[in-house]
Amino acid sequence: MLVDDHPIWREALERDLVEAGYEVIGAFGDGETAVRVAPAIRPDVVLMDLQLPGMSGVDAAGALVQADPSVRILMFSQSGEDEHVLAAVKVGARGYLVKSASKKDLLDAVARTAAGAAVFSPGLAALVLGEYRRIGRDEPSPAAVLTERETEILRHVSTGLSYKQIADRLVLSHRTVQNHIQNTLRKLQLHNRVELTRWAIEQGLTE
Amino acid sequence: MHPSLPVAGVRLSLWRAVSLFRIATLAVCLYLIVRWEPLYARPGAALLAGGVMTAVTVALGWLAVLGRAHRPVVVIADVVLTVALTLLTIPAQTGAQQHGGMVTLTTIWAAGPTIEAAFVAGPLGGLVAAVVQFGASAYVAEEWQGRTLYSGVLLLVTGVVVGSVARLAVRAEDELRVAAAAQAAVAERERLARSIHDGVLQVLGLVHRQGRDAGGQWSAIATAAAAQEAALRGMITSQPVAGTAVGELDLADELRSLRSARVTVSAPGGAVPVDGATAAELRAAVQAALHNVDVHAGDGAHAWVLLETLDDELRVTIRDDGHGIPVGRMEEAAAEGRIGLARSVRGRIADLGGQCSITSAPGEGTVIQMSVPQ
Repeated sequence: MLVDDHPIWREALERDLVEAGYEVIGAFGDGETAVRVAPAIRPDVVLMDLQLPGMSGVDAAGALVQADPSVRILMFSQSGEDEHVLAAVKVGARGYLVKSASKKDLLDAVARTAAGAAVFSPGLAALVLGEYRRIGRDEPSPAAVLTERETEILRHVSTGLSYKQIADRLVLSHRTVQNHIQNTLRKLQLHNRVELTRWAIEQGLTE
Repeated sequence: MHPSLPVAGVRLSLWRAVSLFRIATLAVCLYLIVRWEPLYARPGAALLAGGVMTAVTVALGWLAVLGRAHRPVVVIADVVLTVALTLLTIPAQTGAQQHGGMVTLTTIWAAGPTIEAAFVAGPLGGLVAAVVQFGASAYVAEEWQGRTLYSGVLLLVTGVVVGSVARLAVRAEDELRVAAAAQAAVAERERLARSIHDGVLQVLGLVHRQGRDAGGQWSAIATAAAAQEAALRGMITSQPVAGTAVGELDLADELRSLRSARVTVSAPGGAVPVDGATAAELRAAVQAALHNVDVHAGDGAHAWVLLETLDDELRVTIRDDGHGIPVGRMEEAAAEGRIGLARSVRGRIADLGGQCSITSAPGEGTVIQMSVPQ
């Protein structure tokens, strides 16, 4: 499923995906429609623009994950990485890609997302690193701490090394690098859910 | 504000208020003149004064409603006329009335010009007009104490206080207007940014992507589109970020401004406030390092900049995928007296009390890491 409010992009991406053998079961211009239709068409992978009119990409991703936790969402945007990207992966998106990525990179990212792997851009890795440091300062939690290895790998991703280059440098398997990255995302999503629950309880208690 | 333009806002309200004051006090004066008319030495002079006061009040009220009363010439004319009307008390009343405590013909109506002068010229204007008016009343009564002194002091206080308050109100209104204009400019800029983002940037992005994939002559167009996209995006997103104090800059934003088709900048979410001088030096150091990549790393080399905020330091890592620096090359350059990386990057970081490491190997690209305490 494809969600992008710009028709020229929707068409270009759909063409590339169909050429590569994917079945595009829905291409929508806004988050509301995507969230409404998704339960009926049950997409394996959702390619979602961060900047949508009305319901934001972050909110739409959150709603899709809530309706079906197994859905694999790959966010993309043109403006590069900012807090919205971080917010999207915290609510359950599996990865992020800049819109200017080449066709090959896009298809590669979609394939990896479909296989359940996390797709990190350098910018997203830096945001995740920063978020762990912020959590360490503002809301320390033993469950939301990066291991040294994970920090090292995120720093390598942030400075543009591919998973394969990282695996070579650290003498690890490609698979292990991928697992480490996925773990950083999983811990962050878990921490986010715990914080949200705690916030909800606190609100309930104070009211 | 240009004196010939009608006033609006607070100034207009002030003038309308003083017009109402004039009308109310005129009613009091006319009542007293009519009531005491048989007792006056020259009732005709008193009635003439009442007529002129009515004319002045109407004329000023009309000007005030039009917003054209806020002019020094109007106020000076009013001060002079009011003093003349006050002095008309001398022929109108008997000596006993003037010296025995009967109020002047203009009595409380005569406070009007003081308030007006305070509007136009602030506390000092109010003070001067009050002194002139007080002088006229005291001259009529031929005494400088008792009731005359008491009302004189009240008049002086009125002039100064009204002047101060009016000045504050007018200044606050002017500042508000400037702020509103700035806000409107920002809103307009945001509207433009949105429309550029939804239009031009989308097309440039698509040209970049499709052109590069198509290869051949299209890749040059793709590169140009990418460069324009990055430049345009930099323009519409570079504005002060909330969360940084005066004299501070958002280092993340500063570094992001170095983005281009060949430079990727990654930073933590949210602002990274750093004092302006440090931010400028760090940016310059990163820029020098990127310049070095441009010149030495080879065609098609890409550079990545990573900003991290650790507990006690800021760390910037710059990696490129170029040729790398041959062993001994940097020492050679330094020995030849050329500036290059050593001075422009290391020197800047050392000045900030930080550390800088450069690691490179032929074919492996170069990694420069700068740490600055915060």
